[in-house]
Amino acid sequence: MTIASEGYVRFLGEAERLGAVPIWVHTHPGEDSWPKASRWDNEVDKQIADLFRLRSGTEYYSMLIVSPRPRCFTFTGYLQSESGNPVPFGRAWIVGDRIASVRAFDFPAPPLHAAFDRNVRAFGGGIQQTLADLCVGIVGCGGTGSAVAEQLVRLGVRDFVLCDPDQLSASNVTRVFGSFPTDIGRDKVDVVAAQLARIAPEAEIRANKSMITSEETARELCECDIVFGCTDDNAGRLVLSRLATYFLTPVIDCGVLLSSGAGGQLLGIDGRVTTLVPGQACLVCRGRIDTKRAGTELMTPGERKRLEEEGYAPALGRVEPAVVTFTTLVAATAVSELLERLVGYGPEPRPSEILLRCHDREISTNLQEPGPRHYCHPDSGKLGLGVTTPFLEQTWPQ
Amino acid sequence: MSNAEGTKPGHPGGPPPGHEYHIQIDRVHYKVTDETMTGLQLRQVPPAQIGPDRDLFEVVPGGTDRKIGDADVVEIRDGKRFFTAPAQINPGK
Ligand SMILES: [Zn+2]
Ligand SMILES: [Zn+2]
Repeated sequence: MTIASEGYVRFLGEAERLGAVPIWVHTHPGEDSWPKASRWDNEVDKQIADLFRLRSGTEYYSMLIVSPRPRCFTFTGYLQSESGNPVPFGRAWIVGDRIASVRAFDFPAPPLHAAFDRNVRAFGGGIQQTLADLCVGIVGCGGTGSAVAEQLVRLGVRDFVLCDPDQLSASNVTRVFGSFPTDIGRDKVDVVAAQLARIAPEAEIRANKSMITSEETARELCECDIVFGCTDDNAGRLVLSRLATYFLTPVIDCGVLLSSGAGGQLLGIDGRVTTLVPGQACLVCRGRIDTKRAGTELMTPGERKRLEEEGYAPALGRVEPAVVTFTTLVAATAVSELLERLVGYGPEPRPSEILLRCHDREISTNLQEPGPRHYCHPDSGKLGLGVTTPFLEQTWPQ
Repeated sequence: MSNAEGTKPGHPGGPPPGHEYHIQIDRVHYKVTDETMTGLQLRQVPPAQIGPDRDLFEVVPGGTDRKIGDADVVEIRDGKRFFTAPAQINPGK
């Protein structure tokens, strides 16, 4: 087989238009094939690498060889800049209705620890390996976030990015896993990080003491495989929602709302877990973000106070009711959603949102299409766009 | 490439004879003087001329790049970019 120049050159111009790196992909067929570059493959790379860089306008050349395996595939590949050594691909992260992780042929999985025997009996060694390979971001380390972190580390996740700008208060000790009265006043990320390290001393934990509404933090999160949104703030959710589209990073966003009557009696216990993957509506299209509140959250304190007094901005800083049983229930539902997407034990089509109406002891689910012309819609061309200027094509507070 | 002494007179409204056009082939800058050139002429612009094993393309910003055959005539303008690509890739073996 030969490929004429017209067959591949047009994709290089297309890559330049998209600001993307073109990848030269071919297969080595057969389930017993060896998916590594042959001497001839290396020769082809030499012939085309310069042209790929030149016409696509990137400094990178990239190639990928894929081979079938029973019910799966294996691969090798690399990314190479003009001057540097080739950087091999270690893992493919496949994101859609289901999510999966596939290790490269040259990166065989280390043996699993016997401690995970019960998990492996439930969902098999492959899923357990994926959990060990994942880098998970957790935005918000309060009642819900700490419960998500605790479950993930016990499931076998070993790489975390934690974000929360707040310190632990006395009233947090009633909900935050791993917190003790002696921790009051410490940064929440440090309290949760210490708990994760007690359970898994080998875990890699990056503790970030800032809001996801800071560009630097949002950039750090785009390196995660998956992000759990466990924050109360609407401005942060606006960022998470875009992250899912621009970086194809699945976001599992959760929240709890307790409604109390004037006399303090509990009237409603509502939990929500929304999974943002390509093809599903974002949090804005679902009406899960109060954009007016988001705007107010981003104002300077003085600006906010003045507008609140004039009645132009919703009052913020109200202390919402919260109870450990409900924050933990929602956290467990969110983590189960990750397991379901990896294992696939649930119904199809897979619902993208779970609504827990605890007061009624009822659960409902839904699927929602992206809004037309919105960034979450595949036609918008924003899916997987990656790094843009400005970052996530949104304005950032300075 | 042609010498500056107008082998072809500039058509009315065109630049005066002797005008230089700046073009690029495979990232290298060249100056040419003709208002139109054939693919074959363009292949002779680089000091080590482009061999038949490579195809010549004109960059069409925002569109599909145009493959230029030896006999095709290209209107030369300042800033035009060309590149070459292996005519056939044999990915097999
Ligand atoms: Zn090959
Ligand atoms: Zn949307």
